[in-house]
Amino acid sequence: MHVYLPIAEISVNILLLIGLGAAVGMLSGLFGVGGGFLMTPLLIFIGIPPAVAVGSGANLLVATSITGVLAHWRRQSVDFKMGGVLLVGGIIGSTGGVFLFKKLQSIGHIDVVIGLSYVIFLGTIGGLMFFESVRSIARRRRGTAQRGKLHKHTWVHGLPFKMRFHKSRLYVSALLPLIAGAFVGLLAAIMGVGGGFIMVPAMIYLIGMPTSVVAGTSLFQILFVVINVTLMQAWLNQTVDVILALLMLVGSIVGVQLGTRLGSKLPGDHFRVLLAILVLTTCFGILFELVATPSFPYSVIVQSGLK
Amino acid sequence: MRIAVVLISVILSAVPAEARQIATDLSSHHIEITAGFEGAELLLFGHEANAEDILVIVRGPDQPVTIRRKERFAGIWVNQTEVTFSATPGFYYVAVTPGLKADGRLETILTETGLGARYLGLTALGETQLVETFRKALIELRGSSKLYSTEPGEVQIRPDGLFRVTVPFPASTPVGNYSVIVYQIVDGWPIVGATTPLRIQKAGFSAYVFDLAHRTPFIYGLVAITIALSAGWLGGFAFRRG
Repeated sequence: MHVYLPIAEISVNILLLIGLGAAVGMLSGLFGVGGGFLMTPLLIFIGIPPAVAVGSGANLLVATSITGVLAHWRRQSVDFKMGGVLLVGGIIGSTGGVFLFKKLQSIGHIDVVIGLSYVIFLGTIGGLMFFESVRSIARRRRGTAQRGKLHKHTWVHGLPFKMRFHKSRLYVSALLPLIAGAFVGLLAAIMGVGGGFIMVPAMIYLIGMPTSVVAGTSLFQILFVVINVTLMQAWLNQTVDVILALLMLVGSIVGVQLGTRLGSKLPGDHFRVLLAILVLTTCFGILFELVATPSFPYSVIVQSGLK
Repeated sequence: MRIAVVLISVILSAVPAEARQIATDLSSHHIEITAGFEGAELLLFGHEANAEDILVIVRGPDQPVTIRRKERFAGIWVNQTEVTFSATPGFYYVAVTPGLKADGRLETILTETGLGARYLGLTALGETQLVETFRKALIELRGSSKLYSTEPGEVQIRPDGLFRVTVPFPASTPVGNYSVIVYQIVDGWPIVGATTPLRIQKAGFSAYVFDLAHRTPFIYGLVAITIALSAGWLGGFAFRRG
């Protein structure tokens, strides 16, 4: 059974889309990651134009992050002040990103930029994750755990424009969350990802936030950033396919529940190795597409607007 | 597969060659692309008094297109060169009668009149030596996606002059105004016998979504966000209770 996607302008099997949504949802339930970084490349692999994959991916993330934000809100694990500063950066970064996207699209380089961004980020994150989890498995086998310093004073604490964040019990420069937010916003606009995989480590290691508020605060920022990306992509580039996003959402909602239940039964370290392998495989898949000699190096772009 | 069959009848009346009168008719004037569209077939039929050879062209709406060529740059394949053609048919179908196909004249006719898909004259914006290479690439690409018939299809014709041809439209058929042109081969040269318009348009829900996204993109964006927020919230709500 096929459905004609009005914005992507191609016919795709409905079950394939729901299945993809379920698979990505399950992984995100299993590993507690957003899944955007797998969703966009998968959509591109099945023939959705990269620009539409990114725009609709952001639209889907609006739906998948709202429930998380509400849950964290109820548990009071959102630092709204920190989230607000991150968000100011995020709005600037993502708005700039959508304009950059439009420019790259008009000169024909958007596909390569999307592909390269994925290779760089998935490669780095996957590699780090792989070594980190392998090391922690080895450490656990040896049965020794080293305790780090509670508070290190680094160059980060010398930056100007300091602000007090009560919820996070921090007194740090507002520049840090502002820049981190802007960078993640840029990635959201160009790659169609929430950026949790950058934001969470940045919050813990760079800003020094307590882990209890990290997940809620990053989700809060992501929700509003993807709302902004969806609006800007739809407005400026007409690359948001609601039908595509909705079909994937149906699968995703079910997948997340399955993943969460499955995840609670399995050990964490081995799991992170699996996730790392998955991330690296996706990375190599995209890299191969960029490097392999195309069977036909030409492509057609119809320049018409509304007919 | 759902196939929309549209009948076009072209009646070429039995008048002598010098005063051919042609009547054309369409049983339906448009094909609708709806949510489940996977392509369509159109049946064209008619009558040619002397059962002479026939050439049929179905030409889609003209579109400006840019052809880009990837070249290797620092190890990866990047779009490097591009040529823009101001007007290219979005769909181009050619069919001929078996007599003409068997005859050596066909290739000459297709070349000299520029009627063959491979010989379409396309105007490029700006001057480059690459135009011919890119023109061939465009025709190759559209040929492989079944938008252009690089090899002519077959018009079936009976000794009494009744003819018919099935025109296949792929799922990616562009919307717009089409023309169906039937040529009679007179003294080895094609003469326009009959022209019939055809319209292909998006219809139903997908057309509505496309229009909203392109005419009022800001509102469409807000709608997309609202739908996602409520769907996500409902989904989470259902499972929290369930």
